[in-house]
Amino acid sequence: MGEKLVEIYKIVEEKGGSASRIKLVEITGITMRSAEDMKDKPDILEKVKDTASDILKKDINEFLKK
Amino acid sequence: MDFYLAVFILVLAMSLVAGFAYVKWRDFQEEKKKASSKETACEDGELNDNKFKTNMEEGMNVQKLNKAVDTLKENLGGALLATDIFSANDLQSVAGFNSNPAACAVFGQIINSTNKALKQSGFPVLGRFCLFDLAEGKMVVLIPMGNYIWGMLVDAKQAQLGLLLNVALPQAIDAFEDAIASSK
Repeated sequence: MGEKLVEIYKIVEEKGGSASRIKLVEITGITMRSAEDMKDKPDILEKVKDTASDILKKDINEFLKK
Repeated sequence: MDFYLAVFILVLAMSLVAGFAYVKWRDFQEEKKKASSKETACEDGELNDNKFKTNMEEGMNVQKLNKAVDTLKENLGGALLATDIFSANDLQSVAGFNSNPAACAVFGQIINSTNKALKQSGFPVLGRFCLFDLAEGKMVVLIPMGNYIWGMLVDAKQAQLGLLLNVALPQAIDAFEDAIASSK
């Protein structure tokens, strides 16, 4: 399960609302439901992290659990 | 004679300078006008959004959007009185049930102006949804989804709020995400 991916989606929704979550899906092509079934592959994780940081205009790593 | 020649040369030189200055001034005004219209469009997000809207709507998976509407209908049953997924740019419905174009236009404006007001006030933007508790036991729920807005009229007497907020809306958003992802 892509725990980190799901966590990113939840943070994006919490900080930026539904619009930001949808924007993340538009750009990455990964839905939150499909993120639940995916493994946290480093390359995908980095891409989603970068996109999430761009959308929120904040570094997503600040909000992620260690 | 020399005096008249000097005056003539002076007038000619002044006319040339004035003409040159006018051309420069006109170019400057045109540049300024172009820059200001571009800036306004960017501030409102129109330039990027319109470009994006065209790309998105051309390839939008309407079948999946209708499926998202069906998911909401299944979860809310008879409590769902009307619903529309509409563009935040032209406020036209792209999928719906008991569609109401007038409501799309008015509630679309409400969401857009609310977000603008929040932004200008330095407040956070709208979160997951916006809920209006209406008279006669009805509710309007609006989900701002970037280039789209999902609006619905719900009979609050038939649908529990917990079911709506914790089951129906999250599943509806998931289904909308599927439509967006499959449009890419």
